Amino acid sequence: MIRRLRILARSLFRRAEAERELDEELRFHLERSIELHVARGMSQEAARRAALLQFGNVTLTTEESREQHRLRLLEDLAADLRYAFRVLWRSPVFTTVAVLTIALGVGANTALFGVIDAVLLRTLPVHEPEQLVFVRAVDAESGRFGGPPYPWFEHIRARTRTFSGMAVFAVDHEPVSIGGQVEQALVQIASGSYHQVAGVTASIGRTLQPDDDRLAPPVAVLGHRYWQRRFSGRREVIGTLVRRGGRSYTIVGVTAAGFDGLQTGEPVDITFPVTTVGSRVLRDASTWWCWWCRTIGRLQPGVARETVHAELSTMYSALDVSGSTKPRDLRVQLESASRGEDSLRRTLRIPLALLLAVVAAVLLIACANIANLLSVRAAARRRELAVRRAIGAGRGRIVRQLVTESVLLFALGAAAGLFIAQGLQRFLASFLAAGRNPIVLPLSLDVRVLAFTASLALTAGVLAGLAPALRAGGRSTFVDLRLAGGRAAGAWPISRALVVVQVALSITVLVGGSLFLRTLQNLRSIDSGFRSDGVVTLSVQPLGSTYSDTQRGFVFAEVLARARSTPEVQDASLSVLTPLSGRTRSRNLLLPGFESRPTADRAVYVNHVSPGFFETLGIPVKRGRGFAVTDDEREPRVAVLSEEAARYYFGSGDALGRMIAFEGDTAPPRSYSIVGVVGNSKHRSMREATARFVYLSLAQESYPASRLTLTIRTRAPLSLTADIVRRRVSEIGPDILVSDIETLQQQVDRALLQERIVSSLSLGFALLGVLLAALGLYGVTSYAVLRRTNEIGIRMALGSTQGAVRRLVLRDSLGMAATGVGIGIPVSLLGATLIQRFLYGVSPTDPLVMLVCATLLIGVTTLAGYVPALRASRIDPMRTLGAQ
Amino acid sequence: MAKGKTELLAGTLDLIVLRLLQGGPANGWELSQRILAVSRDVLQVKIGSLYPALYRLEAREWIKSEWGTSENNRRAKYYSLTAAGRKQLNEEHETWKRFAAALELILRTG
Repeated sequence: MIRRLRILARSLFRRAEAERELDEELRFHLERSIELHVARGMSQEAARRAALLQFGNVTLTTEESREQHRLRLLEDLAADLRYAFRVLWRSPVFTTVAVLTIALGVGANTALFGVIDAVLLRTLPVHEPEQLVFVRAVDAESGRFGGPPYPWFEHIRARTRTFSGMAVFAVDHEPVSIGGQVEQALVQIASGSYHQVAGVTASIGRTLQPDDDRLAPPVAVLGHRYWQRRFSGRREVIGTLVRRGGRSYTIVGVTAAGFDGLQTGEPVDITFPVTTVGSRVLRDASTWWCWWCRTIGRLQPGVARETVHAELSTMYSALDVSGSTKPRDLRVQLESASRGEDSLRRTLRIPLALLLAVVAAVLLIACANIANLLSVRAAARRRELAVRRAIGAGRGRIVRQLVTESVLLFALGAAAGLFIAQGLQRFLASFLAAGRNPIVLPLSLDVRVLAFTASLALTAGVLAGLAPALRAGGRSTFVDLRLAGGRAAGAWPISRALVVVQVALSITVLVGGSLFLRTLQNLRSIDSGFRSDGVVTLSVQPLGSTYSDTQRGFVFAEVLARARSTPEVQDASLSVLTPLSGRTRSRNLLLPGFESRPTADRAVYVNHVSPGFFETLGIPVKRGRGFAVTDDEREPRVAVLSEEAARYYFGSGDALGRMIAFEGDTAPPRSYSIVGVVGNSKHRSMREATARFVYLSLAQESYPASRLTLTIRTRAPLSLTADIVRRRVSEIGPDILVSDIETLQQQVDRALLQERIVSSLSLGFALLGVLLAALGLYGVTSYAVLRRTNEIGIRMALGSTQGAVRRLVLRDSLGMAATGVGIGIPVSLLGATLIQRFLYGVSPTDPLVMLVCATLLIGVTTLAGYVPALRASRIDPMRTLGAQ
Repeated sequence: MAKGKTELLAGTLDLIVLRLLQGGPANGWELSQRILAVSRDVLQVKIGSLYPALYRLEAREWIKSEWGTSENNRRAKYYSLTAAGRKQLNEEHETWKRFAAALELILRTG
């Protein structure tokens, strides 16, 4: 090994010396040659000419010898490739099947890697992303965490010696108006220093600058995606005005392409200076965390995290909060921001890992197929290989040739797989981008993904090609020369083993996919507590710049009235929250007997609703009554509890007529009398435990939110009805933003996003795996039948019936399938327990799932084995034996 | 090429070189002369084949080289057989014998 390295090193690094040596050696040869000719009586001149003639072209020889080490490999490779192309070209059916198989396996892996790269791996496209950190503190007791309140942030930023820059930012969906048209946009407010700190440049115009915090004049910067989508990338957009919350901002620039903000999957549309939140919010230091913003910092180059941590901790301990008390054990945390925020990674990490395991299994199955196909071909090419060995090709040379063919196949397959990957990515992207808060990922087949695919194809090609190649290359030459064209040598047990592995792998992924499907079905059939069919929700927001709080109440009352009077609408209601909308509001109850209980026991979801809310959503009123039109500000305050809340707080006693109040309310707290109990319903997710809900009357709270959700139930087509209602609502007055029109079923589906992605993709890939395994079994069985043609011919000549021959072949293929299933079931059981956390309402060892999967697999493989079996039974003994 | 002189069969040069080196170290010149001598001037080795072959064999570690002094006191590179080369020689020799026998058989019967 060391010597080999030395030779290599000499050929690479000591090239000059090697050349000198070679020159000297050849000169020596030439001189001896001349001497010999002279000794035999030639003149010096004639001897020299003769020697040179004999020598051939000295330079050429030098070239050839010199290049020996370096070029030999390359030349061989080129020759191997040319040869491999010819071989593949000559057998188009084999090549097509193999390339398609590989394309499916590699394509699936490429697509998934693209998503994993975008979500989990890729760092932000900014200057030195590793220097970016999120700055926050965590209360060791409660686990609550958050960035410093804005005054603290300013204090730290003014004094820090370890950060080269700091900035706060916050992101929310907000209505903005451009050219008189109101629309919903993902709005970011950020310190003027934000873009500098983040290390983002402008693609046109400029980014935010520290001076912009003074709002003189107010400016805005567009995100690149938004600029492309909304303005088709027009440069004239610079200088136009954006209205937001009663103020006009001048667009001064667009950020660089590729930068979507610090949160993966949610591209920021427009960025405004942070100071637009107003001085009351900015000055607020009543809590030790910032309730509206997050803080990012860029470390000075070369400063260790520990130094920063120590500095921040010192500063934190000197700061105080005005309102509540500061926690005793407050610890500074520096979270890397090099890949942006973590929330999407947390959501998608497990589903992506699961899918990666599935597509990896599919690729393995595909590799096994290719290995089998190649070994069958190598066997068919025994004669050719034997001839090549006889004329001097070494074993290594033959192995290299066969591996080259395999790698070439995988390269072609990978190239075709890129198209499949693109399609799959589009499918995945549409999955993620559906709904109200679309996840938009920078999915593309970029250099990183291509590099991944290339290395995958190379590795898989070598793996799949090596075993058959070693086998073919290692064969005794002369046996093959003699036997070439005649009967083959014995069966290759590895082929059969590979089929068994394929079946085992495919049943494992099939069981996984089926368990996910059952999980999805179970979650879908859970009693959500509300009826989602025929319900559509619209978000309604009269802009604060146009309507005062009182006017807003009138607008909402009119919205509800108009919706109700629409003929297509059966029921309509307004509420702050709707089920599975992704928004929640919770408060802590003040209740006799519960004062000393931890806040977690007193926390309830609170929803403000209009009359008709329970009817519209189909939530049954169990006791007492729902809200009535008469429950307005003139009447005593009333509340309706969910069954779970009633049971939790009042036990078996009657909740009706009891009084409740909320912590942190006006002093003294307003109290509400319970007038009804309604059925439980799911709110945050389908998997959550039954939640405690308290419903209050919108009218009695004088419309506490600037945005309400209008829910309508209809028998007419949903989109049509929604459109009619939307038109009627916007006719009420100017600047009423109607957005987020979505059916409740869509929201239920989105709540099951992870499950839907995982179950549909894993089941799809599992079926693909089964198909590939069946193909593999078909191929191996067909080859076995071909090999045993003579044997079968003899059997039939000796009186074997067609049925007996069919059974003989079928038994063989069923044996492989059954062994595979036998190995695969325990493996699936093991795998299923690993994914138990992800399952719902189905045991990882569900016997029905196992049985169905095993039956399906045995069925498909029997079919795959039946075709060759049929062919075997049609063998004509006379012809077979006559051919001998 | 003069009549009566035969070109080497592809793949056999390696075998010949290994066999000649079995008798002891030799430089390239000596090898070319020995091939002529041993084959009674029948086999003519082109220089353009011999040296690449030597480098190839060295790369495969069947032979090794070192600088020494020739019989006329000149610096020359001497090649000698390695253990791996000896093994290879035996294997190839066996293979060759069988191949030649088979070929002979075919030629005689065919």
